[in-house]
Amino acid sequence: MAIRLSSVTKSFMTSSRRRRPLYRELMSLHSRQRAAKRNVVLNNIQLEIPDGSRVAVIGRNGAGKSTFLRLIAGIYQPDSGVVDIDGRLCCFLEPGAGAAASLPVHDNVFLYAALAGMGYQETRSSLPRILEFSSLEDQEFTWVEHLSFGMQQRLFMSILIEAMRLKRAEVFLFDEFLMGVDKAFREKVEDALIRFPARNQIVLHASHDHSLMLRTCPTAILIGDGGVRHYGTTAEVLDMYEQVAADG
Amino acid sequence: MNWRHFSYVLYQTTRASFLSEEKNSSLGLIWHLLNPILMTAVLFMVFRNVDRFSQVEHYELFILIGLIHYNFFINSTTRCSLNFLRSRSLILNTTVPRQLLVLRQICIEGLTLMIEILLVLLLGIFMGANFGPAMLVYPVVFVGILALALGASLGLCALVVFLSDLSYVWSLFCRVLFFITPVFYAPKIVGEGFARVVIDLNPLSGLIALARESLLYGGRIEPSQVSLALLGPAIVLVVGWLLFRTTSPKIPDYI
Repeated sequence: MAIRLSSVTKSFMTSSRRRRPLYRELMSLHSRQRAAKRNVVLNNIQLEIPDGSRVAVIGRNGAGKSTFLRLIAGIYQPDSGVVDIDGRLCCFLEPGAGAAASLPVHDNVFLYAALAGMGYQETRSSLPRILEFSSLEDQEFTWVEHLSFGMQQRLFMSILIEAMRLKRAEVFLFDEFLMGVDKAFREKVEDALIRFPARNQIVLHASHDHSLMLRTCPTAILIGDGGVRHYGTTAEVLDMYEQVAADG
Repeated sequence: MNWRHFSYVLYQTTRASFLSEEKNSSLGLIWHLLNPILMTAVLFMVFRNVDRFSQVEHYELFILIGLIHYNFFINSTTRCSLNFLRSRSLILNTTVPRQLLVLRQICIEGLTLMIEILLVLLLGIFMGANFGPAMLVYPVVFVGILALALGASLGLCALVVFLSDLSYVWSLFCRVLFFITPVFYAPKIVGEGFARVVIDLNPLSGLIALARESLLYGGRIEPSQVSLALLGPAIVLVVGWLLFRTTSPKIPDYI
């Protein structure tokens, strides 16, 4: 079992109380607002995801999909419960986070690949494949900030797909990574997501693109009402999601 | 992440940050050299006619060495905390180790300090300073000041996420630090008393004194002097590391 969540609960302080000037803290010392307000996002989650799973994470805006992925990644610590992961993680919930936009594509491939777990020699031999996959062969020395949003997404996603192909991690976490890319690249990524994950790898992907989810993920998790509402086949979960959305 | 890969990621991120900073400026690295040279010129012109200061041998180099070490410390800590807060997206969306964000900035500032030291040595040759075997002690000073800046930066980053006013407090502290660090004066002119105790307790004082002795005067350096100068940075590093380790799990909740 590669991912196990046992009785996991996560809450946050309401945003107004996270960081504020010292004088406002002092002014509210005796006020009724003093008691910290907490918003429980995910409550008592029990879940086991086996090796080799490709899982879609589905839910409405603000349901807790990103919090769920961040808990698995270890970015957030649960208030209670335990998150167990067997294997290395590759988590880029925002493609391009950590990249240097003012440097050329070439330098960014080495930088981003390093963050994704790839070494220097590996990246050097993968460079032509990454540029070909992203269709940026003739842009190797163009500054990333001069590329369009879609081209940047293609570059970063190609590096992550290469990391998956080279098995640099066992668990891959993505969040809406195909925004702004063209149809041709989308098809390439869909194909890669079906072909590349090995038997011991897990891909968890949060998205609102239901057709993509149906094609690439055999199973899905529905997040809502502060927890995992259902874990089953993607078609089943999407039906349930549509029903919940229709009920308002 | 194993140590080998951590070092490689540190190299890549440091390189990228350094090159990005360079690209956003016309003079690039020259700014790092202009700042201490101009400041030294001002301090030298102001204090060279004061009796107590004019007796100091190679007073301009004396100021320059003090200044580049002081600047290194304040630039490292201030930029570390600023960049840490700006790295929200990286902290919330990736599993990149958070201490790497601090180390990256220290490495960039460390590179700048190395270039500034080379400038001091070139000026020293030009002005006939006494270089000798004592220069071999300087790498110890360099490690000491890296440790001091790293410890203070870790502590600052550990707290700045939770205390939004800390950046202002730190910038005030840095102004005070300029006067309680022997940048343009020798500690002996302060005499005995509370001010001297404060200066002696300041870990930068010991390191700057050692740097001047090794780079400028070439005098005999006692092992006890070296150990004492490294004690402060070691304590700051341990405290900073413990603070960072304690608050790190909560940082994504508050950043």
